[in-house]
Amino acid sequence: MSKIKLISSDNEEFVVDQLIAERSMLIKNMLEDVGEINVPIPLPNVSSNVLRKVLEWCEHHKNDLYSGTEEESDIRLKKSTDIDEWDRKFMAVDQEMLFEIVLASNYLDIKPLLDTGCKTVANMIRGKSPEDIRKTFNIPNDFTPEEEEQIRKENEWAEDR
Amino acid sequence: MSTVEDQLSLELETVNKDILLKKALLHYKDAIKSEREGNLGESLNKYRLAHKVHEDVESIYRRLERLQLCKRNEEEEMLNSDASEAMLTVSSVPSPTLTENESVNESVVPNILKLPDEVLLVILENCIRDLHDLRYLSSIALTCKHFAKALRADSLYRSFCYCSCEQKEWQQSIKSIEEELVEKYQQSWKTLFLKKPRSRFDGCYISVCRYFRPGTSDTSWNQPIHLITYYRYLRLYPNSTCIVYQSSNEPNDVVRNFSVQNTSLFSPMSSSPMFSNGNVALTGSWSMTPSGEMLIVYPASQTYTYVQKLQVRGIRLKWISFYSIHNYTSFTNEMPLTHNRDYVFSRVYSYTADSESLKRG
Repeated sequence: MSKIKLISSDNEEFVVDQLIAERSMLIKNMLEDVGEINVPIPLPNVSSNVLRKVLEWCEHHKNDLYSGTEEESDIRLKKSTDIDEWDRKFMAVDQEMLFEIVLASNYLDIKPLLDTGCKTVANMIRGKSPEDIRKTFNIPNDFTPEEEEQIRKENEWAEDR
Repeated sequence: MSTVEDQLSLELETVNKDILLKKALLHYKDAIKSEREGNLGESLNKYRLAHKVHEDVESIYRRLERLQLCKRNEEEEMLNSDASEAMLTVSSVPSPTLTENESVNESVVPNILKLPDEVLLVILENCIRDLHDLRYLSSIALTCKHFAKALRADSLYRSFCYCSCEQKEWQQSIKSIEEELVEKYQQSWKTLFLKKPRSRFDGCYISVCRYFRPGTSDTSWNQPIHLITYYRYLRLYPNSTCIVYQSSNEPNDVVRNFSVQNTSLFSPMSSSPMFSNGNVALTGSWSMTPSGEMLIVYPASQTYTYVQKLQVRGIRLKWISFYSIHNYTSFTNEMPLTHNRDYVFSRVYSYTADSESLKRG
């Protein structure tokens, strides 16, 4: 098994199996473009502690069915609501790390990890009042009462669902 | 000796260096004075002026005031304890650091708002996974402007449309829906989702019919008039079947038991007193055209089949016509619509689980 060298934004070097690194479509495409695997790949958007975490996920999911060609129109596939037990534990990190993972998986183009991250965040939003959502994510309320009323009207139709 | 004093003198020094800021602070103090005196118009003008001279004047003023307050508190404490317990001052030291944290929190953008739009969209898509989750939409939109804006994305509405289609609310294939999107709805999934007539399975359609009937009395000097109210109930199922029921029983008594599984509804000699007034529910079939014209067809007896022709308008079903067909001769007989009011849809929460179990069964 050939090894790939990755370099995080803070210049830490990671050596991983090609199979694991290629869970990232970004890296996979880079390797294909470059044509050789001995060149270290710099990842200027990912810090070492986040990269370590992401690689841990890739390691665990290295044998998953390859879903890189998932059709965009197939929204139903995304709808599978459950997060598996291992992923749930993996995502049990503080909010800052959670969003770092989401950003990194978006940058590295690891769709299943991005989906898991987004589902985790979505579960923190679902069923909460606006005030509770704001508290959860430390979002300031930037509505004037008039704007609030307007938004309320705009979404009124969804209430009886 | 104290950090508060150091900080205060440091701040004052920076203020003194910045002439504009100094000016702005003076205006601000003036404004506060006018406000206290009740000259609101004047104070407003001064506030505006202060902000024009230096935009951060408010936060700087507040910080200075806080520091001064801390300093005063400290001095008081010093007087009170008077060196007997010098340790006490420690308790007041954390307050300036706390105010610092506050101002930091104000300016930091929350992590979730830093996400790129396409990632936020994936999150929102996962918040509203099926039509039932649409009840969360309002809460999420009311969180902040950024969320409200993101929720207007047409791709979200596309996935809602797919849900509607999957649940057979349109009785059409997704392909024909996509064709309609281009032809009728200006490529906007949102318009299509909100405007396209649909059938709903998560509730009951009820039409309240009222009429007056002259009564008789024993005496000749008064003539009573009865107001008669009866209801037409209609429940649609995704598999193109439906149940119709006409009764004088109130919706509260009927709706919860109004289901194909409730066999007592369909037998005339029902033991259940609720449905024993002679009327029975009937099963039939329904269909709907893309433009929302709905046909409800149900057998009324051995020889006659009834047809209700309705037009879907939002949550209403408007009557177009009502007729019977003779099963053998195909002779149709139109019935008057004088008493018939529109059906209006009402959400019934127990129906969702009901139709789920029906789908699986």
